[in-house]
Amino acid sequence: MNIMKTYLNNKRAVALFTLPALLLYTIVVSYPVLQTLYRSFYDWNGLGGGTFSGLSNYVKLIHDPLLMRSLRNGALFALVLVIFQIGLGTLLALVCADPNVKGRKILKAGYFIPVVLSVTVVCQLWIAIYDPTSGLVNKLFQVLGISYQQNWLTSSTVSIIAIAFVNAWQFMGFQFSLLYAGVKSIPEQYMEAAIIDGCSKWKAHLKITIPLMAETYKFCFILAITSGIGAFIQMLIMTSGGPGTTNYTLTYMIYRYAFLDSKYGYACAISVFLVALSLLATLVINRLFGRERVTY
Amino acid sequence: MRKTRKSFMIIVALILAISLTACGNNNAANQNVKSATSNETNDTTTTKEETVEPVEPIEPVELRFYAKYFDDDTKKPYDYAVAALKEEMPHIKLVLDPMQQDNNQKIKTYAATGNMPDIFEADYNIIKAFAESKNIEVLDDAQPTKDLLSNFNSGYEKSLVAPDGHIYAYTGGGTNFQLLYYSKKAFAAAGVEAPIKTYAEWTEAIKKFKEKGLIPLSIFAKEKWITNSFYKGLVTREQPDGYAALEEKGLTQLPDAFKNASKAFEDLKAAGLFDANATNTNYDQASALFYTGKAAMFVNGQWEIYGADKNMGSDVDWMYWPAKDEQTYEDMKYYLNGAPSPGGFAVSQTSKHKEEAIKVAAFLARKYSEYQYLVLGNPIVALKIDTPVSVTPPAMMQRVIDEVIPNIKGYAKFNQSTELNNALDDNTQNLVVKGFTDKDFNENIERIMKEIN
Amino acid sequence: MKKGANNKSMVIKKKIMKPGQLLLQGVLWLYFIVSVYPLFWMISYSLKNNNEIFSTNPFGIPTHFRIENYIHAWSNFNIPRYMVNSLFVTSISTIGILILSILFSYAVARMAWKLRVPARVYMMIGLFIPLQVIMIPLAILVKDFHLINTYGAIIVPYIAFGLPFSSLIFYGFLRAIPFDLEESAFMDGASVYRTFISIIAPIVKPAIATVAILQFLGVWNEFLLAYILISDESMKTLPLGLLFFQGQYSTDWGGMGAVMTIASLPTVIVFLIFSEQVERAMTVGSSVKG
Repeated sequence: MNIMKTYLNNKRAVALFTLPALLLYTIVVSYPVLQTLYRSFYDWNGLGGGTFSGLSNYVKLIHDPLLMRSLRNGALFALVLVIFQIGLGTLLALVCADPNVKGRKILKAGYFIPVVLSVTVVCQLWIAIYDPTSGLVNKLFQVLGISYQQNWLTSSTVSIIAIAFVNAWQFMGFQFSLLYAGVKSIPEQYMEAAIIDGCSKWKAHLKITIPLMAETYKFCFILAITSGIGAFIQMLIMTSGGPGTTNYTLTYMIYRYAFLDSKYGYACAISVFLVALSLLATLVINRLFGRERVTY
Repeated sequence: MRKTRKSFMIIVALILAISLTACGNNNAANQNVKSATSNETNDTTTTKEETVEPVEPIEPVELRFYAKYFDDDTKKPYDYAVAALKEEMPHIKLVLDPMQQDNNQKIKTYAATGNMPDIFEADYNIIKAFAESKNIEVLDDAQPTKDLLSNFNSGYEKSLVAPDGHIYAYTGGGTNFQLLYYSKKAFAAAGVEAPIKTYAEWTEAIKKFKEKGLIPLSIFAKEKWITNSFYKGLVTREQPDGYAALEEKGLTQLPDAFKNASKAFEDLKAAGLFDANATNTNYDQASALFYTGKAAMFVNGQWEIYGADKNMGSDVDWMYWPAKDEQTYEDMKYYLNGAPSPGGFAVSQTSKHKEEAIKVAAFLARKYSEYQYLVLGNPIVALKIDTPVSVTPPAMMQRVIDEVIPNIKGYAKFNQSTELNNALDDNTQNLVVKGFTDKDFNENIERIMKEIN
Repeated sequence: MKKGANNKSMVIKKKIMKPGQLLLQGVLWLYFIVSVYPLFWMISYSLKNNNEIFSTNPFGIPTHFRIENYIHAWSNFNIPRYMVNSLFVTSISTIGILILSILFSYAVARMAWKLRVPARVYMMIGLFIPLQVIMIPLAILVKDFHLINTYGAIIVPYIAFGLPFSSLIFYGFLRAIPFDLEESAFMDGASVYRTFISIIAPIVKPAIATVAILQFLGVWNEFLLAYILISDESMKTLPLGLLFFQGQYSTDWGGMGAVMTIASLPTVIVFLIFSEQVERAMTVGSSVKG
């Protein structure tokens, strides 16, 4: 143990390992972020000097009717991602880790294909799928005799879910691969022991595999929830945030104010809010998943 | 031994980063050298020009031109203008920096990093931001401005001037406006008489089209500006100034003309004017619906005349905007819904060849509108062009030339507030969708008015 | 021998729970089709014209293969050049990300120093940064470092922005490795560096493969930074080819499909090759742990 300490305390090694990454990250990522923070206190059009305006951008943000809508959309978006990506991802990961399932290799590669494609392609595909007259969703409902056919991308209630689903579907494979790696990293003896004790396979997973994957889940949740809060590109491609402002999210607000309204200072304030919110969500998730677990 | 090897491995990362930076430095240094030399050449050029007769070969000047260049509408006038430039000013070498429709993200980055092109296409949003940050040259007193203005058709002299009273960009183009196109076949099939003059007739017609299984009007409402223009078409029946009327200090209530227009918009939507998927329809889809006879009407700018003529020939014509009653329709039909907006070819304040750039910008503006007039037969240009038009314009354009141009009573006025315009974009698009009513619309716009007035 | 015996017992098991298994297999393959279909869709999209894409035949095989979309793409911009640029930028960025983030995560996950938790949280903030708003400060930075119109203009930001995500993945993997592995190595007198190279690095191979794939894809498809920071025609990357097909009003969607197919196929191939690697490496990794 003592030897361990002297080794792992090696200051020079720590510096050598962390400084390159920290240095680059600080210059390229943190420095612009600090500028964003600084500029959030300014009335500024993105060029030129701008005038100091204290907290007025933040006050304005609180009263902006788009804020509540963006938050609501962000929450719904995150919810869809969590349910679909983590839920389905877990099921598929557990199934694919089971050696009894045939063609696992091909299945796994297949599930990942949407991740490989560009977001533009996937969005164009789903625009066609959601088309109210020729689209596949409504056709499918028609065939199944369900009268839930509707205008997926224009409805003020379901469109955000429809759009979130596109993201959830495309990047499910991503979460799936993380979860699969998580499942695989759990020693098989644990499962074997549980099954010998008389647990069914699924029960064993529920009691053993999933709790042991807490660290993986933590990461998956952080990923799903923060990408829900920061969602943007699907809205931009599929509906331009519309109809009207129906599908606005925080990032969409930033984009609109910065580049359409030339209110860069205000956009900076929204960015600061977005980062703070994501950070808060991360801390909450960390709390919920408890202290870091000791390895087995 | 071992230790050093490992440290070496680990340091690879650092070296990587450093070498990249070094690469950059080298290149940047090269560029500096380059620009320094071209700077010198420029100096010599200007002195030469002042003292020596033009017979002497002039040192070449390279100008970076940030302009749209991606389809026939943008490539052909560019090529036309550049060919003319080569003859007129052979010493100018124009380097194209292709511009995309990106809400000005790239040009703003250029300005922020001091990498401005010499000449660039600027819309009002850019003019406003760049005027404040001193990235755009004020052209008020430049000789090319005077030359250009002296060739303008009367009444157009003010069209270059921005709301702050300065001239920042050159254009020889006229003001665009929107028309309602209709398919004669569809109208005949449904028993609707053209033109539709009142909202009541319009609603009646919608019923007939729907009975025939036709989409009454196809609109590419995925783009917000077209719904904005549609609303403006309705507004200008009762308020010819258009949105500018909303920018009055202290005005927080939506005037009646606007309320009536949003009510009409709402009623037409409720009657089924738009396709259910309108807000997800892009230009290609919407125009295809119209061209293939699935939609009876189509709304777009007067530039659509060429496309519609090519695809539908004699089956298509346009109508004026309907109004609340026939009297209003007749009174207002020569008030066009388009508003002139400052914009065109601007010159960077930091250009190393400012004099040349201004000359070239004015020349290009001239040639671009000449192309419109001479090659396309488009009469809507600010510039007086003496050369007779050799092409026969499409029948619909001929109607514009004979019927509209001589009778124009006015255009809508330019509205300055980008905030208001963006809010109108959002809310008019929303008005196309069921569940969002004129009440919501009026409320939202009044909130913006409270902010800006 | 053992394997054969295993198989036999599986066969018996299967017979008992056949309907359930069958249903499960059915669902798995159904979702497989749903996942692979976009690849087929993209390729057929790239061989259609606007009319087929939007109204007559949005989902099926093109009625007439419009190879001209590809010819058009080929004649519009220098595809090989763009491809080489993409390959260069993506490879360097991915390697950079891998090296920097794995070293960083190792120190954060397994070494003992005071600021390791703050360092980790600090790095994580990078996950949430909306690119749109820091674009202008970033562009100024790129200029100040004299990187404008060099490959560095995008490679450096790509590496920096790839760090938070990769570090987090590596962190998760590294935390899961039992500490006694290193302990025994240290007992044998190996240095931190030696332990890292010979013990840790092989174990995290599956993580390296995963991160490599994800980052490669991310960088390969990246559009916004490349669009804003690269103006020099000779340095443009493949996603920028899309710009050639967007008109002022009308867009050549089939042509865009062709560019997207040209841009995506290499990534699909890379992925298919690497996924095999990941699988193999993953099993090795778990056996070490088990």
